[in-house]
Amino acid sequence: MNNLDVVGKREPMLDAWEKATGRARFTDDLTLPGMLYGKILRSPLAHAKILHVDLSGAEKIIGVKGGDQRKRYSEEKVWHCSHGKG
Amino acid sequence: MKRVIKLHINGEEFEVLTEVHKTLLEVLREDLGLTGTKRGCDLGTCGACTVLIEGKPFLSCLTLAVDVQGKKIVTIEGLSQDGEPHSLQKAFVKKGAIQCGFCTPGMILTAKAFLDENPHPSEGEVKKAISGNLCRCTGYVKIVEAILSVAPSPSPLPRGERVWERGKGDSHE
Repeated sequence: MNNLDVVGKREPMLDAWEKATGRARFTDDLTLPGMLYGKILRSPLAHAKILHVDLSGAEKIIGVKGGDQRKRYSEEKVWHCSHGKG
Repeated sequence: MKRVIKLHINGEEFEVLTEVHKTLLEVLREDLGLTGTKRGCDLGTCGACTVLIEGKPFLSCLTLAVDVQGKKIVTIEGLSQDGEPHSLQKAFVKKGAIQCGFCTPGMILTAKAFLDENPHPSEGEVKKAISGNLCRCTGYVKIVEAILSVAPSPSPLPRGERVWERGKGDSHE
């Protein structure tokens, strides 16, 4: 049985051409009707317990649809995020 | 403040009504839908946004669109000629120099500008030329191989050739 066209050979990745020519669509390349943009507001302090986030100023800006501030941050486990260290 | 600016991109003239503070990267991606040019760091560090302006590589995230009116701009979408991919694009595909593909457009354009100036580079020169383009998959070996395959070195260096692979046929190239 010598009909193996692929096994044992180096084949280009299936999406290599799209990526090499710029046609590939990454998540950041997509635009959808009415699409909103989100941004993560990080604590400026490491290991800080987030008790409250005041979004009233941000919400006054034209185009801002709102923020998602979850109270559970203060009650449950505190998640730590730091830039560039995953 | 918006203004109509004229851009010469991939052999076509574009008139774009856009804010004067926008970078070339933003105009390409947001106003013209040319999303092949990638926004990586947006700080001029990663090279993903590289485009060719008058044949030279520039970081489009640090270039104001209004400043490059009338100049010849080439993005990854414009590198193919009449539907035929550029030899570098073919080499990247063939050599497996593409993983996630995010650095690829900038990497290929940087390599093109470099090879146009130095058609017979050494491996070290290639590495130096692409030092401003970061690949977070860290697939640099294949990228350097792909670029060198398009521009064979004048001296037959044993680069990339491993002694134990000699005489093994072409199953591993």
